[in-house]
Amino acid sequence: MKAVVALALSAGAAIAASAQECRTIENKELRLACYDQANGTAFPAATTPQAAPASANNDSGFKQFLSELRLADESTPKGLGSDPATISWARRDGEDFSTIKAALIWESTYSPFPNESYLARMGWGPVVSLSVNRNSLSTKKADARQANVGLQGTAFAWRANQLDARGNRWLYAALHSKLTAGYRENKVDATESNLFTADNVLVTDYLRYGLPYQSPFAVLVLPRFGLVHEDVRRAKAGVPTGNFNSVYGILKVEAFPALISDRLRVSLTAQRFVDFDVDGGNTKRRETYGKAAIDYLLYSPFESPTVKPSFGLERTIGADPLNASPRFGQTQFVIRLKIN
Amino acid sequence: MDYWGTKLRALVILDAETKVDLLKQYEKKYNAKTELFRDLAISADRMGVMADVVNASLKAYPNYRSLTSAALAGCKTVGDYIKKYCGAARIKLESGEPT
Repeated sequence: MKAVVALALSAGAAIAASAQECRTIENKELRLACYDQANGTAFPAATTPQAAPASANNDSGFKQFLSELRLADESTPKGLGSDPATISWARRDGEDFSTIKAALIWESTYSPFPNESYLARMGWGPVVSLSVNRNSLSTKKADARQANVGLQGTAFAWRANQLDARGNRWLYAALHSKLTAGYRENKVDATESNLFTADNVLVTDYLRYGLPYQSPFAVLVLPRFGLVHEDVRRAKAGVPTGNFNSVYGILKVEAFPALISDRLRVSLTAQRFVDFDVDGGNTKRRETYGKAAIDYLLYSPFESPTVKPSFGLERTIGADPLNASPRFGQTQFVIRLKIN
Repeated sequence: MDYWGTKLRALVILDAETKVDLLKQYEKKYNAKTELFRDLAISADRMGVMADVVNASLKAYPNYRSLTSAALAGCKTVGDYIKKYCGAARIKLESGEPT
């Protein structure tokens, strides 16, 4: 039992543990710190504020900004931790084909809101992204570029007041929300749109089981839903313009069947997108999108090499209006190189 | 509050979110290179929604800055998380830390 975690997690309160509990900590410095906190000697700053170093970790503004940038694949829904950006290229009958799914994303490390406000306490901060979703490999081509700006953070978190018998704090439910305004240019349909999106990820401890790659079987389920308002301002002949208001729901399941192999990862994504209100004359869209993938790691999951190669099989079907991808089916054998 | 006390506070929070004995076995079985998802079953989404408990704990530091959900979700290892926690608390990392 994790007695030590009985150390109070409550808002900023001095951690109170008994010296007996501190004895169970292996690490010497942490054990001493635990004794200090148990004896109430470790919090002079909380009662007598002292001047803290202005830049404690030497994080200059520009260095900090660079550390907040990341490159990822935003084209398919994956929750907060998106997959690495993907770039592939093929040559057939003298012609070049490529797929690019990449987004440059800036997310603030610190909340710009006052510390005492609800938004700061729940981790809300700005996000800016520039993304490209291009696929010339399939017969239904996609080529969209998008710029977004918005705010994201935890809308609410409902967790147990007490630690359970195993020393865990159970998370009943939490909602991570992302509100963005954006502009999208779809080169295939020659459309230009303004977009407003409210995207939500439901996180709960009821929907996770086991340690990935280690337990005989581990699974993680991620439900996601949202609202989209798209104002298509310009389009080529035959492509509708006007306002589209839509809802969507996504279910993503990731499974790690270590019982078969500790290098296997299976993921399934199902998405339903429905227009509930469109400008007169336009047809309401009802689209389903699905993706199934099986990946095999070419390195031990218990090592952390700089380059992490894997290969897999990926099947995608349906249309994804969220990313301006037309209805198509595609099966790909993929080799991935993830660089740490 | 020194670096070690801050590191302890950061680990206490994480310890309550995972079913493994992270704090007790820190140094022996776990360390800063321990991966949050693979070794502690804490996904990026799960880290992100910890912002409220992390920021509540940071209130003990007079000049703290609130961490965003995105910053927590971006942590891949225990070391990444300790660095972010110390940065928000404006506590300087000890040389060679986090380990």
